[in-house]
Amino acid sequence: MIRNLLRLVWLLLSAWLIVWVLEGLFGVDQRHSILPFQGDGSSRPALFIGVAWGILPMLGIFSPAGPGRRRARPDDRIAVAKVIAVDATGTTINDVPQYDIFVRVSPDSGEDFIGQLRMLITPDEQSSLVIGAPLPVRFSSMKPDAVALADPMDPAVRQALLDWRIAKGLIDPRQVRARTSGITSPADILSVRPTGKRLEGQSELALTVLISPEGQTPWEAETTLFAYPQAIGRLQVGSPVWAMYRREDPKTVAITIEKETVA
Amino acid sequence: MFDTIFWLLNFPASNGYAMVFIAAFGSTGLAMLAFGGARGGRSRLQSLREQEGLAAPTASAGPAMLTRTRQIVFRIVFAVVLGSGAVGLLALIGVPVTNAYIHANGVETTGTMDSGDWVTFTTEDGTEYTLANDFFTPSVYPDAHASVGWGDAPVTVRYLPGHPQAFVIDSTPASGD
Repeated sequence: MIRNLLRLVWLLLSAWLIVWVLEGLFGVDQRHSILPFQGDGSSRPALFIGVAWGILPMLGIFSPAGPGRRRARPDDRIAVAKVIAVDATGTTINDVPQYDIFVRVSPDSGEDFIGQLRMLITPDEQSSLVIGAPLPVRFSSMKPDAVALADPMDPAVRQALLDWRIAKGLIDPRQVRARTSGITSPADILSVRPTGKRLEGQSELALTVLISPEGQTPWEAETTLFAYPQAIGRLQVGSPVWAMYRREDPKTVAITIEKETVA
Repeated sequence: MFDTIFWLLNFPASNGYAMVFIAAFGSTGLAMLAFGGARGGRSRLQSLREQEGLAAPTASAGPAMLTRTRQIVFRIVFAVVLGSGAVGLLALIGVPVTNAYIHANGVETTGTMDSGDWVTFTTEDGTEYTLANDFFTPSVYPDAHASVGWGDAPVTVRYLPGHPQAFVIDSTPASGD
């Protein structure tokens, strides 16, 4: 917006200078100029306008616009993106380097696209930004070039991410009701077996879990779960997880690593 | 041919003061536009899109062509501005860049001056020209610092026949008196 305004100002100044040069070269009666600010015929207006015209491009109004900062808008969509490239921009603020992160976003509907987000990343956060790492992002389908990081702690974002997983088939359709409106209880993994199915960079595991709600007899259930490679370490035999099930169907269980509350 | 060149050169020479400032402040920004890196944020995004096979098919040749054209245009503008600044600087320190040529090849006529800023003269074809005479780079030759045309005294003006905008005021005593 500001950039376009400054470009317009620059174009107006250019037009002024071109007319000034043309009048100087071809003018018959140069005392009467068609230009504004050219009252007494001195070269002072041309000097100021020329200097302003020269300085404006130095402000970078013609350099390609970066992704810019995205403000969260209510119509933003949420999806999981995969990091495909991380470039340092060369800028540091308070010794924290700034990075351009390029992500491949796979929205719940529509085609994948490449987006960019520019952010400051402290050295201890850098280790999590490896290529292929999943990131929850918010984006607008109108301007997909710039995406923003979505806060996974925000309940609305959690809901959107759950919808995204369901839309992508990462949650078995039979588990959806349990996952979205079930009771959450602690559970332990009794057996893990990869099924060999892969989706969106996640691998499916077949699990047997022992669900042990407080004050009830524990029972076993079979289930499946898609997990990122980074999370598989937390899904070993004996690992404590959270199980979600509906009271009328305690054998259909959805597993989460972190405790999820039903939205 | 030479008349045209000196007519064009005479503009920065007779506006030397403004030209020096414009060139000094404008050349950096213009150089950025003319020689600035083509590898911006968007092109990185574009190359990654191609790499992942997600490039929009329409946005391939057009913008690159546009960038190239813009770069060439800004290179020309950069050279013109820098050259004008050099000519203006020479004129400002008293080198008669164009005045000597105009004095030697100009058509002589008589004109009047208005408060030193404006010179009015009539050319052979009967057109009356009123042209600016800058305070810092006066179009006076051979002695640029001579005070000419005080009061209503007529001055001798020499102008290039094809382009009367390129003129000098003759400061030799014989013509001034």
